[in-house]
Amino acid sequence: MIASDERTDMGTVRIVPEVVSIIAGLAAIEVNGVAGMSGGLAGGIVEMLGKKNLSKGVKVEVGEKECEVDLFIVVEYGVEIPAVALEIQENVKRAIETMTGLNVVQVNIHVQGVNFRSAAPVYEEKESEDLRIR
Amino acid sequence: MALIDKIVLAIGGTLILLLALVSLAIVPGGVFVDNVIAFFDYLKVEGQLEAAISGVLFLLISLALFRIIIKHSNGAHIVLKETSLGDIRISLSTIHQLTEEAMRHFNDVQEATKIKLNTSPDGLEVDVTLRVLPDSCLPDLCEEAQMRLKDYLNSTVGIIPKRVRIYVQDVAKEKTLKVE
Repeated sequence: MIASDERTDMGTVRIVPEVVSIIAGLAAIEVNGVAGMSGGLAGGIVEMLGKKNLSKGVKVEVGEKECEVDLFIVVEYGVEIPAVALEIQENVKRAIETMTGLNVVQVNIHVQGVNFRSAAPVYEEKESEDLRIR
Repeated sequence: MALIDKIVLAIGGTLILLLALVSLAIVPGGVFVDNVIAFFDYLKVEGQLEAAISGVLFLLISLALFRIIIKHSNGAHIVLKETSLGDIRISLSTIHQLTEEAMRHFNDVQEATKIKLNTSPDGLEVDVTLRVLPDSCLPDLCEEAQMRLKDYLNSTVGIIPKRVRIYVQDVAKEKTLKVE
């Protein structure tokens, strides 16, 4: 990974890939239907040690003017996966381009799992609402 | 599973396996004694029983870790869409999870005992082995399960499986209430 450099009259602005990863991760999890990022075992161990890993599940390749992002995500049960993935691509591209000025050439989405845990109570609530209507 | 995860799991598994072997070696005669009764007599001596138990425990944990490595080593995926912004891919384990869940919500099915996914250039093939509830009409049930799974994967993932094979392995003895 290379840090992105931009020379100005005042000096050099350098954006390290870690920053791009964090921006991408945050932009991805704010999309509805995303349960979280899949950082694998290593990412999990880092979080267990108490360090908040904001770039978990994000791989970036940063060049001087362009960057490429790979996101490993877990989606919520019941969502339409291609639609969620498309929204993530757009949101991540927008966030990185706005915040860093880098041109995002690719945002690859890897759906690694489905989160069923939060889905169960939703069903129960819906069922009880229906019962009340009857 | 990422390479780093495999390395971490492999190191962890190997260390625990070594611990297991060391713990078992502490017990005089180890587990390889011919006379089983004599072995249990040794275990009665103070401290040796704990060593044997911890040895077996470590052995089981290491085996479980190695099983995870083997299970997750196949990081196969399907490309759902190639957009102008990049690829949208889904892992086969996610499709496995979704198939399991679709079958779990199917009334006449108690559980999907085995799910096998095959990818070929022609498309996705899904083999599902089911344990069904009694008093079900099996041909109708299988046809409905096929249709339901196809519809479910199409609406959720956007994939229409090329083939869905349903195998009925067992009929549950009693109707049990399914918690959804």
